[in-house]
Amino acid sequence: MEKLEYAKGVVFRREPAGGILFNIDTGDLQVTEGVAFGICDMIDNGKDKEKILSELRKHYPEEQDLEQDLDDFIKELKEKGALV
Amino acid sequence: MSSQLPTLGVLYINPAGGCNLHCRHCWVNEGSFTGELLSLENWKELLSQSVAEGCSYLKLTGGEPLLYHDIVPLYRYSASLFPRIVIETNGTLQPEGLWEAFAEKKPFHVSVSLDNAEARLHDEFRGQRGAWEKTVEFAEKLVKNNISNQIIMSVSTAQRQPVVDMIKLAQQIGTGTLKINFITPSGRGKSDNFFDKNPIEDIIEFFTWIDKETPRGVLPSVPAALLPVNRLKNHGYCPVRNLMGVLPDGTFSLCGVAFSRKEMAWGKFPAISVHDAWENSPVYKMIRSSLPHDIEGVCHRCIHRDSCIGQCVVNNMETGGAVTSPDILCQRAYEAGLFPETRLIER
Ligand code: SF4
Ligand code: SF4
Repeated sequence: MEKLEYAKGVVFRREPAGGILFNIDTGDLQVTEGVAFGICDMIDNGKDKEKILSELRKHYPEEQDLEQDLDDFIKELKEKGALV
Repeated sequence: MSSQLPTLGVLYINPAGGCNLHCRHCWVNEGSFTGELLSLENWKELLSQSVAEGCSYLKLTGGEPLLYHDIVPLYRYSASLFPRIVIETNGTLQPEGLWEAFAEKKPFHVSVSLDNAEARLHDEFRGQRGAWEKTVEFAEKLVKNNISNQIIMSVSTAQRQPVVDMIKLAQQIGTGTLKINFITPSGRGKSDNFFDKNPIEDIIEFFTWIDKETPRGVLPSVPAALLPVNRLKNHGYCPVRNLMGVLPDGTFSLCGVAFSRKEMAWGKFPAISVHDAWENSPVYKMIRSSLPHDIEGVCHRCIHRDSCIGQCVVNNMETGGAVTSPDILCQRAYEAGLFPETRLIER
């Protein structure tokens, strides 16, 4: 079970058209839409990687590379300092 | 160069002493310009020095830049130095050799000002009969010559029909994007501007309508916090912290505002070099030391503060009295309880 947690100072804001990840300490702001928005929302709601993956599989049963895509996105968020 | 000094990335030059039109909203020529124009040779030297500082983006603006007597050789020289040249023009002038120079090296982008789909109303606003036809012809030529282009429409009301009509006209012309500028309470716009004329509720409703009901190529000049998330990716921010403006006589200015606010000028080329001005101008130093951290009001609490820095410091100076004053629109929205909570943080 891989726990996912936003870094200290990072806040996630939900809006009708998508979400915003904002780092209060650095001022970095990242806009998320579509699937990325959904993932960030699930992280914000405390879901772990496996749970997020199973949700994604429910929504996109045809997609083959979901796990890889999720890993890539998580890696990107970590590199940007949004995830610990 | 000191390690603290930001790169001079953007240069806005105003080569012509004025404009051939007399637009109702203009802040540039509110006070008439009386200095001596820089010579072509001086401009060339100034551009070369700017490139040596690392500058890669040049905007020819005004007044009307195409009014400058040596505009074609100036453009050619600029094109040999700068990867990106943007031109803002009223599109009523086509100096000899201009299109040939554009064909040799295309500008990165050209914006033309066209305010109404109805010729009479545009001409009234711009203060010259026949301006509309000339501008439309210019815009069509940009499209024909495959030059990245935009129409800029300046509005003082929140009426939808003029926008709808302009969208149709822009589509007929084949223009890339239609930018909507809201006339600010500065320069000649003090008496008739978007901000004082419309209640904030109507303004927000107007923005929402633009967002939901108009094509994606319609770009309102709205501060980031008042845009939905999906519009933020293509949102451009003011580059003023990396920008130097130069007036027709070589005076270094905070963008072009020293046309009307002399206190925003410092030094004059060639007596002062580009490097010296960029490093030592108290005007640029004041901008660097005060923005974004000292910005006041709602901007201080806004999550876009560091990139947006209050949308337009020139506008903020005019409406609030200081470069650190908040943007009038966001501040009014905040005071009316219409500013999105999701864009606020405690600092
Ligand atoms: S509140 Fe200020 S910083 Fe935030 S978007 Fe509006 S103008 Fe920009
Ligand atoms: S301060 Fe205002 S006028 Fe100057 S470059 Fe920025 S947006 Fe443009």
